[in-house]
Parts: sequence; C-alpha cells; structure tokens
Amino acid sequence: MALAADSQRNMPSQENLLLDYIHRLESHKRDRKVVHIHLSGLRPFNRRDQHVRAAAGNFDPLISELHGQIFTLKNSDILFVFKKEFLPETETIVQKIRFLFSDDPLITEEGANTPPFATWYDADSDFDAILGLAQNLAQAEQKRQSVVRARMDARAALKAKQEQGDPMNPDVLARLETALVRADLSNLVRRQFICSVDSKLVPTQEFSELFISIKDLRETILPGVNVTANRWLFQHLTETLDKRMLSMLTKTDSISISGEISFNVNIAVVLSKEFQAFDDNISASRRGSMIIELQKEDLFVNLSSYLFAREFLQEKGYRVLLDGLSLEAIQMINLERLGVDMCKLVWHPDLVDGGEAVHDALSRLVKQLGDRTIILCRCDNREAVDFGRSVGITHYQGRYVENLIAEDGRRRELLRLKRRIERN
Amino acid sequence: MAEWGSTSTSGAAGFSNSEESLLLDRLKRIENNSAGYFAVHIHLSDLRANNKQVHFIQIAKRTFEPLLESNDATLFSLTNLDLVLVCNNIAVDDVDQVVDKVRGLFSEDPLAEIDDSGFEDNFTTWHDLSSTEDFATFFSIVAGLSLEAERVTEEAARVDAQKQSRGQPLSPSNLSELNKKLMSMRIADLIQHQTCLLVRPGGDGEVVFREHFISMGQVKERIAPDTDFFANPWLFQYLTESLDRRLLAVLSEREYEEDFEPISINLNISTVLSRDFQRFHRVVGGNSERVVVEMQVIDVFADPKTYGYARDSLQERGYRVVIDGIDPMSLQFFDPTILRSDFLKISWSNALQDDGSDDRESEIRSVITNVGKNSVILARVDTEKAVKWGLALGISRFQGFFIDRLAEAIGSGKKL
Repeated sequence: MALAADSQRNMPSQENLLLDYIHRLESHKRDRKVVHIHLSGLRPFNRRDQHVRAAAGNFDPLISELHGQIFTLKNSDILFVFKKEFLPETETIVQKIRFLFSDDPLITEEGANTPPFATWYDADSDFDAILGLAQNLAQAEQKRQSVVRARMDARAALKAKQEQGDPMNPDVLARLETALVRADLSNLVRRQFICSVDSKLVPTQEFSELFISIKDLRETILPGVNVTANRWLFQHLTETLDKRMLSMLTKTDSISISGEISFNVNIAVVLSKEFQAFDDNISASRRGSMIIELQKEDLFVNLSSYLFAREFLQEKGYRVLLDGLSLEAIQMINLERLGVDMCKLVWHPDLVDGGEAVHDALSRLVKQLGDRTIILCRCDNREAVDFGRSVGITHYQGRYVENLIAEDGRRRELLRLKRRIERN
Repeated sequence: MAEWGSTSTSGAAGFSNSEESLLLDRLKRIENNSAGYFAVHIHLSDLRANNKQVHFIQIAKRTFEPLLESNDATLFSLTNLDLVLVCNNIAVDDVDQVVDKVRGLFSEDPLAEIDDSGFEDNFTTWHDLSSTEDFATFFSIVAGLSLEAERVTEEAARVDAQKQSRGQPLSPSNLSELNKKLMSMRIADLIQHQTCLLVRPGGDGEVVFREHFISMGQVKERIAPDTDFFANPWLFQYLTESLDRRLLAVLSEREYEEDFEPISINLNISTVLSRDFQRFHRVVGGNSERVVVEMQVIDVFADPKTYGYARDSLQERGYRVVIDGIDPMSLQFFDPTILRSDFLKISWSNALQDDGSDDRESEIRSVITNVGKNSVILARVDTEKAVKWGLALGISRFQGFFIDRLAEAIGSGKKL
C-alpha cells in the first residue's frame, strides 16, 4: 500500500483527469453527452475490481473509435463522455451493464424514491452540473488520499508527534491517574453553552456542559504527551476524569453549577459507588436540571448495562444525552429505540460535502426524532450553523456559538447604553 | 456492593445470618399476629444472565429505600438474587409504584414484560400473609430457598476462590509490563483455528474460512496467570492491539500457495491501517480474496469514519470484511447494513431460543432479510439446536465448537 500510495502521488487520479477533461470540454460541449453510472451503490461484493473492469469493458468499442472517453472513479462509479450521435449505442451498453448486476438491490429495488442506476447529462445545457460533479469528485478523492496518507505515513506520525507530543502509553497513564487523585482540577473545569439560534443568529442559552479541558490538563500536568493518541487508554482515562467531576459537583463550593447543566459520565461510572454517592447528595428537584452525557463507545461494550443505566437515570429524573455521534453513527443507530432524550452530532465539513443525499437523510432524521433534540456540536464557524438550520437542527454548541453569545452580550450592552443616552 | 458481598459469602461465618434465615425468623415472629402483613416476591433470579449483574441488583434494591424509610416494610435480598419485600399495612398502590420502577429498570428483559393474556405476572408474586394458606405456601417457598441458598453459598465460596485465582485486574500500572511480555513471548504455538462452515440443505458442508486466533486465556496463562485480563474492557482492547501485531508477524512469515484455504483474522481497525498489515499484504499478494478481516463492532462504533476507510481500503484490495461481535439484541438498536461489510457475525446465545418472543424473532428475521441471509454468520454455535434455529431463519454460515466437530466429521468423510 505504501508503494501504491507513492505511485498515486506521481500519477494524476482519474478524478483529476476527469476535472481536467471537463474544463477542456467547455469549448466543444455542444455535441457531447455524459452518463454517470452509479456502481458505488452496488453491494460491496458486486463492485470488486473485476466487476467494475467488466462493466467498463463494454465501452471499449466506442472508445477505440474515439467516440467517447471513459473515467473509472475510485468509488467504482463510471463516467462516460460521448458524442451525441452515439446515444443509442451508449444506451444499449448501459442497459447491458445494468443487466450484469440485475440481482443487486440497487437494480431490484430501483424505484422513484431510490437513487437511479445511471444519470444522463447533456453537456451543453447541463454543463454547470457536470463541472460541479467533477469538482466534487476530485475534491473528495484529494481529501480521501490525504486522510489515508495521514493515517499510514510514518512521516505523518512523526508530524503528529511533533505537534501533539509523544503518544500516551500505559506508564504515563498510570502516573497521570495517580497525579489526578491529588490534583485540584476545579480550575480545569470549562463550561460551554448549548444554545438555540434563531434566523438572525441570536443565541438563546438552553443549558451548559461542564467538562474538564483535556487540552489544559495536558498543558498543566502532562506537557508533551498526546493523551488522545490511543483510543483505549484515553477511554480508560475518561472514567477517572468522570469520577473527579462527580466529586467536584458534589462539593458545590469547588465549582459553580448554576442553571441546567450537562456532563459526561461513562456507563461503568453510572453504575459505580461514586455515582450512587453523588446521587444521594443531589436533591430530587436538582436532578431534573441535569443532563447526563453518555458516550457512544460505551453503547456496544455492554448493551445490557447501557439500557439499565439509561432506565435508572431517567427514572431518577435525569435526562440522558448520547454524545459524539458522527454522521455514520447517527444514521446507523435507532435513537428512539435507545430511548435517549437528546443526542449530539459532531459538526464536520463532510456534512456539507455529502451533498443532497446527506442533507435529505439528516432532514428526515430531525423530523423523525421530533421532540428528541439533536445538538450540532463543535461548531467552529458559521457554515456549521447555516448547515444545521438548513436541515432543521435547532440547538448548537461550539466555539462559534460562544462567539455569538459574546456578540449578543455586546449588542445588548450597546442597546442599554443607547437607551440610557436617549433617556438623558 | 459490600453489603451484597457479605450476603453471598456469609456461609462460612455460620448460616444463621443469611437473609433467608432472617426472613424465616421474621415470618415466624409474625405468624400469630399476621393481620395486615403481605409479602412481594420479586423474581430477579429469572432475569437473563446479562441482566443478573450485582450492580444492577444493588441499584434495584436502592429503589425501595424511600418506601422502607417511611413505612413498616423490610427488604430481604436473597442469595439467588430474588428480592422479598415484607410489608405491614401499606397500600398496594404504593408498593406497586416502586415495583413498577424496578420493573422499568429491566424493561428490555422478557421477564419484565407484562403478559396481558395470563393471570400471573412473571416478575412478582404477591402473598397475603394474613391468610393462613398463603402464609404456609410462602413459608415453604422461603424454607426451600433457604436450603438452596446454603448449597449455592458453598458453591459461591468455591467460585469466589476461583475468581481470586483470576487475580489482579488489569490496570495502567501493570499494563506496560504485560505488554512488553506479550511482545516478546513465544506465540506461534498458541494460534488456534476455528472453522466457518457453509451448511447446505442436504447436510453437506463447505469451509468458508478458518479463523486464526490467539486465545487470550492461554496468553494469560503464559505471561500473567495472576492477572485478570477481562476486568477492564478498555485496557483489554489495548492489549489486543499488541496481539494483532504478533499474529500478523507470524502469518507474514508463512508462504501462501495459489489456492490456500481461506483464512480469517480478527484485527483492530488501527492495525488494519498500520505498517504491520501492509507487510502482511505484501506477503499475501494477489491472494487477498482468500483472506477475511474481522473487526469488532465496539471498534467500529468508536470511530465509524476510520472504519469506513479501513473497509474501503480492504475491499478495494480484494479482502472480505466481517463485523464481529454483534449481540443479537443489539440488532434492534442499530442497522448493520450501513456498515457495508461482506459478512456480519452474530453471536448465538441460548436466550435466542428460549426467548419465545415472536417480536424479537421477527425483528431478527427482518434484519437477516435486510442484510441478506448470505451475509450472516451465526457464531458461537455450540449445539445442534443453534444450527437448526439458524437454518430455520435462512442462515447457512456457522461457526463455533459444534461446527468444529461437524467440520471434522465432514473432513473424515462421514455423512452427517
């Protein structure tokens, strides 16, 4: 794979070639058509290399006569650009390819509501759409390559080490956990607001999340160590942090917990003595203003424990939030069935890049969940909130939301000032 | 936790202190003046195994605390995990309210389901102790449970001793040492095989692949018999990353003929994206379609995006991908088809058969139809019953102890 990645770096990808070709096509688009065959929708066992090669092979006669140009993309899709007069031949070929996969659900379940097997474009009238498609494909491929490389390269690992510190190891974890028992963490507790945001981008604070800043923890206790480098060691660390947070919440003088708050608790911790002690010290009315954030990682470690913990928490009066869902996770799991009151979808530019399919899927999900709130978290910029609003999400969290709150505060202050001046 | 522990290990200190005998004493005291008394027997011992966890029972017991504080009521926590609530002059509705809360805690367990058609509730039995007949029945039930408890407690003491021998739980402080040992120990001789078999209607079988794995139990015996590897799921996962590398190193040294028998290996996603796997890939070369890579559903959920890259990179190079460790119950909560793997490995458990709930079975049936019955592997198959259950649902790929015996029989040419 390292070799393959190297050679790819020197060779332009089909996606880049396609984009280049489409740019050049602009000058003679008048007599061209394009068909996009969505082989990426086939089941994995139907879209192996040999299948895609077989499908693409059908175009060989037209290509060798220079009547068309083919692009076989990384995601198995095929794009064929051809001269208008060969439309009947091309239609026959596409029909033939369809027949090759006639037992795949992509074909058997094809209907008005499912994506089509092939999309046809007229290069002249649909040029913008074709150009947009090619740009998206090239961009996606570029991103895919950079991510795959980032994960594989020793160079990338070195870079991460330089930027984020040495990866965590068990020895360091043991030392850190010993240090955490004694350390005063109250100055590392951060608060971030979850807000509803209206069309004028004015935020209304709904509740706030209390958390121990991992970044600050690193800087004060473990400079030079990347605590999140190993997923499993980090998960273990969060259990210790959860318990420290619970003890701080019990001693209300160490941190202020005004208003409705949420905080993270691992399921193992919910079922532990520490949580029972915390619960004993909380008045029944206070529980109603607390939201317990459970991690999705915990869900499938022990589903029985998750279900029991959720039932226990809700029965006690807490509300339950499922944290840290990616687009993939949120589409995969049945939130209604899991009985959570809220969930957090992590913002990522991919959500926008996913195009209409992702957009529609999320809008549907938001509608379907109704009262169960989806919070778009880690919103760093306006794009996140704009996207969220476009799919019907009402609640947001993140740096950008904190900025909106500050801005709103300034605006109100100015308003007050103005009124005072007017009165005078 | 401590309270519970003292109940289950009190056998050695003399049995007269057991909750059962305390309950018998109590019954004897109220026998002649039983007006207003009743008992509620909550059959937590009939919960499914995965719901019979000590900390669950602890929390269930705590649910009764408000009731116990403000009323004449006592809760007995029996050795078999059943709870008995003895009440004096309390409104049934007040008790019902608490019992329903406890029932709610176990709402995913078939025991807690309210059967509208039946007269009896499986979750609780109520006894009116002021009625001589009810009193006698209940007394003999408790007497029976008391005897049973004595036997179980002795057994538990033995199991406890065994648990002790499982040793210290994994912790960050012993992990690093163990990891070093794991990286340097002899391992090739610990690689075991288990066959995944395609069972045809006629009873013929065909090997789909042989899973190659290193038994953690044996690793523990060899490097740390005094450590309990399974007490901490996250630190255990950490160790499996090292184990992956060892397994791949061994497999990378083998030579692969053109048509070697298909194998499967269970790997962390981080391993699939590592250099160790690239090295293995170079050795396997053009025969990648004979290698199946299994990834754990926990790992997939922790980071679905990275799983997606790993899956694509494997499938593009010709490997087949299995999602392993799917609890059949979890199929009600997530749709595995979105994972676009070649196979889903669902773990068989006796609960599937004993369940008797048509809803769950039809749910599993619809999942199997949805993912395609040729994509499902029923794993941990240890009885013929399990195979029959699978076949009835249209599943034809199986793995487990029972299948290993079956595969052996096929291998030796016997007709099944």
